[in-house]
Amino acid sequence: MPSISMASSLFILWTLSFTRLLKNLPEHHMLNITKGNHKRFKPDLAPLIDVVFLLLIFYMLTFAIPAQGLDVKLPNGASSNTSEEMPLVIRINQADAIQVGDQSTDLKGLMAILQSEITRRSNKAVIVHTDDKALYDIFVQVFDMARQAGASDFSLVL
Amino acid sequence: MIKIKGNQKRNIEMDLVPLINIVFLLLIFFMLTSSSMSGALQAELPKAQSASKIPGKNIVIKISRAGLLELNGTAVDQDELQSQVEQVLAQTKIKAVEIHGDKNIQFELFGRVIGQIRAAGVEDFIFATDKLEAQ
Repeated sequence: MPSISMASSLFILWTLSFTRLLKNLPEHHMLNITKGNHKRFKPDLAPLIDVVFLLLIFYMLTFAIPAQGLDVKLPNGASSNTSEEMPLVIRINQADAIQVGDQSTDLKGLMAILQSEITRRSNKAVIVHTDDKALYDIFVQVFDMARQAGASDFSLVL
Repeated sequence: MIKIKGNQKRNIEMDLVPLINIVFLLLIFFMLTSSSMSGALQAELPKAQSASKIPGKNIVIKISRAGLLELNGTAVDQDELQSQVEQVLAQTKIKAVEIHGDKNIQFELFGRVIGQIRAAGVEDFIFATDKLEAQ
């Protein structure tokens, strides 16, 4: 990513210029603690803020939070049904009522029914019919639960 | 640097360089964070539990709540989606498509988008989600 390389080069340039802190120039006093005339401790506040801020930006950009998602293969060719058992058919209708095989349910009872149906079968393929007016959110949740229950091959009816 | 002489013979010297530094940093900060949010569309992703980290680089398609589409950060029309995806497939070696769909879109729109992407020859899909905490 171009912004990451920019940030890292800026970071390197900045640390090189950081050496002025070590020189302890007498004109630098944002904070001046003088005890007697002998030793003066003059920490620079602004460069310290700079360091913290720059480190923050640097790590924010280099370790961006990776997105997560559900991966699925939807092959274009008609999938061959290798086992004799028909795949499980899940229907999602527009009222968000979900029909698994021949049982109707809603989202709450769905997980239990999916688990019992899918573990019962040898053929883990699933066909999902979704009504046009159903929400994508519901579809993803059904899909998620089916994956958790062990379904492997998905076909979507569009 | 800047000297202000008062009556009490006190010099207030201000360092300009660290101040400029902070301003410069703020500038860079906002430049980089605004450019790293690619594209203008935001989508509220649906939540899922069995999601895994998305590997590698994929073609990213965003579907906003209003039904606007974005392919790798640039807006596309629904009609041009298939040809644009075919172009990207021909130019790069990326095989998979990530779909960041807003959770409130209707399935019809999603189905059409998927249909077009499949017609362009893609078989590997990833539905982007947020983490759902286990109940």
